[in-house]
Amino acid sequence: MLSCKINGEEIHSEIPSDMRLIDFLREEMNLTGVKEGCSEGECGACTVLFNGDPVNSCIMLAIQAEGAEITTIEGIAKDGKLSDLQQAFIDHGAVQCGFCTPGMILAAQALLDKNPHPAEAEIRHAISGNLCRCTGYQAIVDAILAVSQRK
Amino acid sequence: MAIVRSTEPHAFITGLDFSELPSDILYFTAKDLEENIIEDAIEDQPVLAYDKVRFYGEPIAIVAADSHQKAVSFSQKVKVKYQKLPIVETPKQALEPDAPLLFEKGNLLSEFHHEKGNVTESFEDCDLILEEDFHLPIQDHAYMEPDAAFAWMEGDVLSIYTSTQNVFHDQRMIARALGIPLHNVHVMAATVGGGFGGKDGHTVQIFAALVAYRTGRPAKIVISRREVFIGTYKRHAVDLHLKMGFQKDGTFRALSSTAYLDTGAYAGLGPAVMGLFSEHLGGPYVISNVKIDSYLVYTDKAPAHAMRGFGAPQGAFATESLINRAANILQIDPIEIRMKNALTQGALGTLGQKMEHVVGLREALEVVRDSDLWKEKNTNQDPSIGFGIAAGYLSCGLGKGVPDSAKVEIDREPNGDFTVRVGLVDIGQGNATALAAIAGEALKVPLEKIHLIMADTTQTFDCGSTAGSRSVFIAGNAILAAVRDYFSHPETGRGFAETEFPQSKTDLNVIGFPHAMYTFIAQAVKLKLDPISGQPQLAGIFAATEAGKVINRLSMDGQIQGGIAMSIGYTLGENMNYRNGIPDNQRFTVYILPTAEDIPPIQNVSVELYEATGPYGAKGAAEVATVVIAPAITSAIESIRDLKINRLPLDFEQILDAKEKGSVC
Repeated sequence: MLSCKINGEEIHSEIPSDMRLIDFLREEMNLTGVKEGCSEGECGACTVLFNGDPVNSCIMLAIQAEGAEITTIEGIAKDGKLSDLQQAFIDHGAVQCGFCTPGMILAAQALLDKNPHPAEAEIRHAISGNLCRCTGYQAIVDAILAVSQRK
Repeated sequence: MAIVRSTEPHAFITGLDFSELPSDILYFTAKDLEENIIEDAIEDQPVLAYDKVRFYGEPIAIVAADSHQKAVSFSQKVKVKYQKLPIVETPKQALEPDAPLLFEKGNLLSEFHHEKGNVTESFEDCDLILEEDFHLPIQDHAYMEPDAAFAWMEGDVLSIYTSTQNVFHDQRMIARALGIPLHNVHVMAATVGGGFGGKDGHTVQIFAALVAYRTGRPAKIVISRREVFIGTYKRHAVDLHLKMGFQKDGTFRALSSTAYLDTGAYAGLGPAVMGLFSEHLGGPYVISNVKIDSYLVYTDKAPAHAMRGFGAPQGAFATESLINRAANILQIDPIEIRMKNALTQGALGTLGQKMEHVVGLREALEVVRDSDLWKEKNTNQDPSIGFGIAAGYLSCGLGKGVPDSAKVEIDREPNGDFTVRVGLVDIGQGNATALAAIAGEALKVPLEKIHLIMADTTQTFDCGSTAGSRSVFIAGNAILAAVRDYFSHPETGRGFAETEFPQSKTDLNVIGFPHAMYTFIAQAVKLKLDPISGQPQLAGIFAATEAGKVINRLSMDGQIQGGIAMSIGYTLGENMNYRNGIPDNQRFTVYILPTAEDIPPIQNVSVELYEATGPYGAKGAAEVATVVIAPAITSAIESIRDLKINRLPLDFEQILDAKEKGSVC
């Protein structure tokens, strides 16, 4: 039995002990904003927040989430309103194909939660575990910078 | 679903043994297909290999179960018996007289020869002749979303979501392989997680369709990243010898090239790639005497195919490198030497093709010359910092003689909104945004009143592929024509039009080229060479792009920045290196994509010339940015260390260890 909090909601679920966290989130919880790009923790598309820290859910077991608080991209918008980061990604053209976007936003959110006014180099470092093949990262960095400078 | 793939790069299949599969695990082979061929311009690739495998990772059989895990684990219990064959590793080896043959017809798939002016004589008149051998590696598209499809049956109709660049091609491929009528195959594009050319053909569509059709049950396939690396299309590796002759004043007088393009085990779009390679090889310049000999050759590797830039980056690396070295030797500013030879409207390109449309190369070069990044070149005295520039162009559209049209329908809804039907896929580059904006502007309604329906074989008309930097141009024009049709009889509530891409008036008697129109770029880079690692640290890139009028500035800049980043990867380390027929790099751990820390700030400035034939003055823009950043980077390194970089990706240790002046890396 796995007990954890996912996007603010208490979850209790019977799961196989060898189930990966990404499969639990996608297949059991239907949180398909968690994307699988490489299955070995290199691309970051499966990034979720684990007690506020960005982790690759493809290389974690679901049972490791026991007692933890997990946030996926589905938990970022509040009451149907996009978060500042989500809106900034749209405004800056930081989304092209969109496959890396959920992980990218969560990695950026984790950074801003701990360091609200990062330098550009700190932003680039914080998202360096999240690969994007479309944008060349410029618009993503611009979007994160814009949010950090607003507060 | 899971795919049984070849573990041999070149072998006869002498037996397939499925005896270890329980009865609830299903398997499918070539025998289950009505016609075992992937529909394409050259039809040499089976959907599933049956008598012979020609590359490591080639699909042989499909295993289906009620879970992905089960399918994968039982696919490993399928035994394939092989009779190994000697491997063809490089194009040059492939053309040796006693080389092993991939196909009975021989390993040479296609060749292209073009001569203009008098190359032999003109080289004799040159003040400076440079010639070198260049090598460009195999690059993977590395779209973030692995190839996927989901198919199901409803009565006689097979419906399928695909991750694709062309739903109508998918429909034809599936109908033919399964032997069912076209109208019984309904293809819709899912939200595509990147394509870059790699999803402009068969990836997994027929596999999912086959299982759904044979079982009547829904079938889902998503391949692993390793399968993407070993089993899907690639950018062509090229070996070329390039010779260029210059006059003292910097005039490009003559160019000759012999190139071997490695198309891997199957043709894919290889012949068209060789065409664009040859067409773009000389760069966006006037060169009166040109001889180009190109050979497209089979080897035992994953098929090379379309990839953003489509053959242009390989040739441009060689040409731009020699131009930069010539400028240095002749002591002419690298921007001035390009200005002097730049194509202008009405001029003839290296194949003799007339520039029939706006040409903004000189304007782009001027913008770079005036940029802060380039001006710093004259003031920065740090010996570990270098600056480099290159210029290039890329055609828009599919080329002369290739069907290149779009059909669009517009319907006014009862509430006054408009539905716009476009049979193209948005693969992430934002053509949906641009097309909706064009429709809104033309219909004089706000964007939220435009409802685009795209890429659905039932609800839209065939508009061809999202490829060739054509989608906004061709569908934009079709939308404008459909809006004119609507306004000519608004009472009907419907507008419809079909438009054609402009064709070049130059005739070269080869299908697919030349092209009528090109997009132009000039790109400059500033970098620091790390004295310890030999690795360049990119400090900034400034790009100037002429793609006609810009429809959406954010999308435009995003295309340029993304294209540059893709070719930074090509320069710094991406390489599908094959050893004994097996790729070294089958994972992101070893096939290194650039991260946000590897890519410097990239600024793009658009030179907005009005292209009269384009929608609101636009040309295509999706691919051009990939073409020349590599030679700009290597030129910056060559300005710091006196050496010649003639191959990609960079070998940092070799750069660091090069002791002698003029060493070739």
